[in-house]
Parts: sequence; C-alpha cells; structure tokens
Amino acid sequence: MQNPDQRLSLKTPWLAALLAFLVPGMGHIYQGRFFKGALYAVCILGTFLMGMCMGENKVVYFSREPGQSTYGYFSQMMVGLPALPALVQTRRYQDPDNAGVSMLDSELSASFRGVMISRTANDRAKKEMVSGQISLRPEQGDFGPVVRGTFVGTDEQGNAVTLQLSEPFDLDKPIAAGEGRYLEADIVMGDEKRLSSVGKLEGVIPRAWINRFEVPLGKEDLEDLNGRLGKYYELALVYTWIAGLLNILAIWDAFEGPAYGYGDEVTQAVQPVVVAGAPSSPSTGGSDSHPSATGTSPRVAHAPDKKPHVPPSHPSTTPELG
Amino acid sequence: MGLVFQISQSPLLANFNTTWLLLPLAVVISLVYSASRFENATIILHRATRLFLQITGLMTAVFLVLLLLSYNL
Repeated sequence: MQNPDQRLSLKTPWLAALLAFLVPGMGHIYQGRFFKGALYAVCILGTFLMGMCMGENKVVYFSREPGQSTYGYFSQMMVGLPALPALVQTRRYQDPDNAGVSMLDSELSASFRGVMISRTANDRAKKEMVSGQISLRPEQGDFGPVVRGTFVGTDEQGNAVTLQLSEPFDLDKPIAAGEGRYLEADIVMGDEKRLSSVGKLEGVIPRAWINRFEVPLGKEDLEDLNGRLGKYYELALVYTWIAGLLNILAIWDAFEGPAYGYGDEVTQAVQPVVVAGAPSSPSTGGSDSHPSATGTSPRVAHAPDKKPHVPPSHPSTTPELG
Repeated sequence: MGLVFQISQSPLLANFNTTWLLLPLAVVISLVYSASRFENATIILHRATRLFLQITGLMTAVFLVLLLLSYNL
C-alpha cells in the first residue's frame, strides 16, 4: 500500500476503510479529506435514500427464499449501516416465534382501521369502513382462555361506532414488511354468558417501525408493490444497488488514496522531477500507467489523460512496468 | 406511496418520463468516480463534468438512434 501523494495523509487506512464502509464519507472525514467526505456522503447516501423513498422503504432486504432471492442486497450492503439492519431483520423475520396468533398473552390496545362486516336481517353482508381504537385482552372463558375486547370509533359518515369483540380472533405476525398488521375478530352482542356473533371486523393495526424496516417482503407484498409502483420499484432497486457499488470506490479511496494521484500533477509536468537512478531526459515517462500506479515517490508527474510520447527505443524509468 | 411516484402522478407532471431519473444517477456516478480518481477538488469537479457530459451524450446518441429506427412505426 502506497500513499500516492505526500500531501495526503491516509492516517490508519484500514480504520478509514471501515468507517467509509459503515457510513459513506466518514472514512475521508476521519482522514481530514472533508471535501471528498462530504461529496461521498451526499452522493452515496443521497442515492441510497432516494431509492428507499421511491420504493417506500421496501427495496432493501435480504431473502434467500426460492424465487424471491435478493442477491442485489450484496451491493446494497456496501452502503454500510443504512443497509446492515436487513441481516438482523431477516433473522427476526424467519424466527419460528414470528407467527400469527389467535390468542393474546397480554392486553392489546391500538388504533385500527378496516371494515365492519355486519349481517343484515335477510342474511346479507353489509360492509362499512371504520376507524378508531381497538382494545383486546385475554380472558378466562368457559372452555379456556379467550380473547375479548371492544372497538370504539367512527364510520365513514362520522357516526360513532362501538363494537363488542370476541373470538374467533386472528392477528398477523408481528414482524413483516407491511405497515399494517392484519387483525380479524368477530363482532358479538349479548351478555357475558350468551354472546352471539353478528358480524366480523377486519382491518389493520399499525406495525412498529422497528418490526417492518428492511424486513423481507412476502410474495403478496412484492406483488402489491410492483402493481402500484411499477417501474419506479425497479428504479428504486437500481438506485440502491448503484449507491452500494459506488461506496466500494469510496472505501478503496479511503484505504489506498485516489487512483490517479492528487490530480494537479499536470502543473508539475512543466518541470519534471527526475527519479533517482533514472536517465535524465525530458521525456522520462515510459509508463503506461498514471503517476500513482508506479508507486515511486517522488515521481515524474504528467497529466493523467495526456501521456507523454515515448519513442519505442527509449529506456523506461519504471522497470516494473516497462 | 413512493414520494417520487406521487410527484410524478401530479397533474403538472402527468407526462413525466422516468428516463429523467437517470440524470441524477449520471451526476452521482460522475462525481463519485472522479472523486475516487483524484484528490484535488477543482480537478474532481472538472473531470466529473466531463464524464457527465460523456454519459449524457452517449445516452442522447442512443436515444436518437432509437428515435430514428422507430420513425413511422
């Protein structure tokens, strides 16, 4: 590993590379290269976040399910901390404990929006959108524990709705990509001893952000996203992939320095510096590579894209490349 | 609903073409690539501008070829 320019301090390169991996631009800021640090941070994080926004925060996740593998995650992962939670979330999502429930361990109280399906006198279903607060708790029934509770809210017209709820009860798994957690319970009437079902309440309660961020998408979620966003979803993926790939360049820059040197060597080329032991000639180039690639310091500098003309018979000053 | 998707669905941008979303990508790629090659800020910006123009020039050329090939189709 060689420092391409004496003006440049890479400090501890492996630490800088690690920081650059974790947070794009951070490695360069640690090295005191603030312009590049800011540029990498804005460009790479900006691209990544733009992709996340376009894809409703559902483009970064890791899945090895057959037919739903996301190998693109390996490029997204190179953005570092913003993408690494996906690995933890995949483990949480695949945990056997992450399953739907039909019984509660403790009281559940949350905002709810969904559909109230009530049976009318002629046994036809009547559907109404409702939103409000749902409250459910486990109780001891005649034949074991049951779930009971209430819903208090309003319908579409703003009329107050109060419902008594009981089993059968169903609640979606706690960790999944969707913003809402599906909930279903029967609407009942009557007293404690004799409850009769008069309909059903179906809808969603909010899922905590920590339980849906970078969680693998189910097949239905994926189809829903593709259906609604179409090509924007694909573009969102491309944005996040490219952000990760660009950070590889930034990590390498933090570790090794800029590939072609400081960049202003073109101004020094007017008065070339002669490498010790090399023949003193105005045309001391001979290398096909850029200044930093020779690894000699001080080096003969030239414009990175304007290679000096070297006659075929001229001896090279860089034997390893000549 | 995605932010960009929402914006693109607004009446003002009813004819928004997603191809425009490639331009910010070209800017970012030009800047980051050039920054990984050089250290001097002026040189980075100069080279990034050149690379951006090369990328967009190439894209425009491909667009014109496709436009020509699809003429009267």
